Amino acid sequence: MDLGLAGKRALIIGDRAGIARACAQALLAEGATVACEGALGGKLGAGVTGLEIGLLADPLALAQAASAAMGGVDIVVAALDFPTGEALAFEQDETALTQAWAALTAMSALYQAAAVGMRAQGFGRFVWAGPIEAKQLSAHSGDIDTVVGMGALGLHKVISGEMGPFGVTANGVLWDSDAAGEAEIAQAVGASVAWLASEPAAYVTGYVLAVDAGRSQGLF
Amino acid sequence: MDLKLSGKVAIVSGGSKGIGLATARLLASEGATVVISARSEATLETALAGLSGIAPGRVFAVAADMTDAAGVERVVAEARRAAGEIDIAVSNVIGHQIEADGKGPPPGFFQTVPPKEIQAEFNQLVLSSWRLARAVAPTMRERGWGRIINVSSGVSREPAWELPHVLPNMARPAAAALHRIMAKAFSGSGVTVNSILTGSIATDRNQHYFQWLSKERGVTLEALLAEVYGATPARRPGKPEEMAAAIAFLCSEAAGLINGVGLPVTGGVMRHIY
Repeated sequence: MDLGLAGKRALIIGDRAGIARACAQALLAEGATVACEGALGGKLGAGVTGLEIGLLADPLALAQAASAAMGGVDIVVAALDFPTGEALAFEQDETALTQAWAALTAMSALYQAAAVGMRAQGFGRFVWAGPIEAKQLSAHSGDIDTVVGMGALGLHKVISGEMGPFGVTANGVLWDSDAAGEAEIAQAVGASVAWLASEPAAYVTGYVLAVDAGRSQGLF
Repeated sequence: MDLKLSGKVAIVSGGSKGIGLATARLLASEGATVVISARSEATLETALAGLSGIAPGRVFAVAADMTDAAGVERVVAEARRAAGEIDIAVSNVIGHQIEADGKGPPPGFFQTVPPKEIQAEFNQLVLSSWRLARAVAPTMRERGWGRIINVSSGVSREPAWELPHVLPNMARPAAAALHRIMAKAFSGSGVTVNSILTGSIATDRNQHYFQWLSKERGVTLEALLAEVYGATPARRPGKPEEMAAAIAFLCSEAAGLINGVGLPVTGGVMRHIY
């Protein structure tokens, strides 16, 4: 299938290097140009331009740098979680949760900046690759991912509706770390992200694609 | 139905008008002792006078900003002093209000929202409800009974992208997740954590919003309301008393096995199958 990604310009943000690398390589294989934020520099393999600005440090400057480096931004892939491994103890103070939300705020600011150019050119793709805990309770951990992840899903749903008339889609890909080995999951996420970023996927928006081998007990 | 709320002590934030006041009134009429809080002393006094008429000696008021940690602490402390240990906590705060500058689309859309408002909304909607729950739930658990209710919105499940609501469209789902996590943590303890999801309700705040929206769309208010309620199976707005009834039921003894739900009181407008 021709994904129509040749010449498309993708910015990858986040801190999940394994997932981000798989996304980068999947996009490069389809002929896209790929740049990444400071935190991922040097970790995504050959062919990816590392920008020296971090998302959390200055999302607006990062968006501008990406546009300058690639001549524009068509696709933003956020390989970002908030963070994993944190259980939300009831007596826990607010710091960790507030900091995690600040990462989402930074992501929102970068998305907003990138959306301006996407709207003008009539094409754009936002894909968030996050943990399955964003939409379900975890037996062992990930409560902050669940709370902040739901905020991220709300953001993508809003973008899907508000930017729909301008050819911009927004979707999520959620991976379950228990579903398979790390490499296999990353590859599956990378392929899913590339497909959702593609031209043929233009009518898929506001959706959350679970890459979890069907392990969830939920019907949807 | 005897909700068995007689003798229970309830805190209701945002309790001086709208849903909060209706909830306070209903809980008081069911025999609970109610502590209402709000920012404005004037509206609190008016509300208190009305409530005292139906439940003399069983209603108290504390002026405080419940989106502020110190405000929550003070309300809980004064409620305990006045009425005893807390059995029911109803978190009924609204989110951050951004003023439009008139220069472009409303700031509540994704394309125009100042990102710092996204953090501010998190503080006001997510942290505020968590703070109230944290202040009262541990003691509820020790006593083996408690009800924590969050007054939320349908956007917590179905974000309304067509409205300038990007802030609650992000914060409400996050708060819903937080309450679901709390509910699981308290499962089996006698403490339940639930939310009601509101849609269009006949409150002052909603009326002001619809008036603004009708001007934005260049239609009459009547035409806008006909469109909104035409898409609602019940064909009308919800009443604050109907929200209160759902809250009171969730607080009841009979609802002890209902935990972690987001009960939509929206006249059927939500489209998800469950």
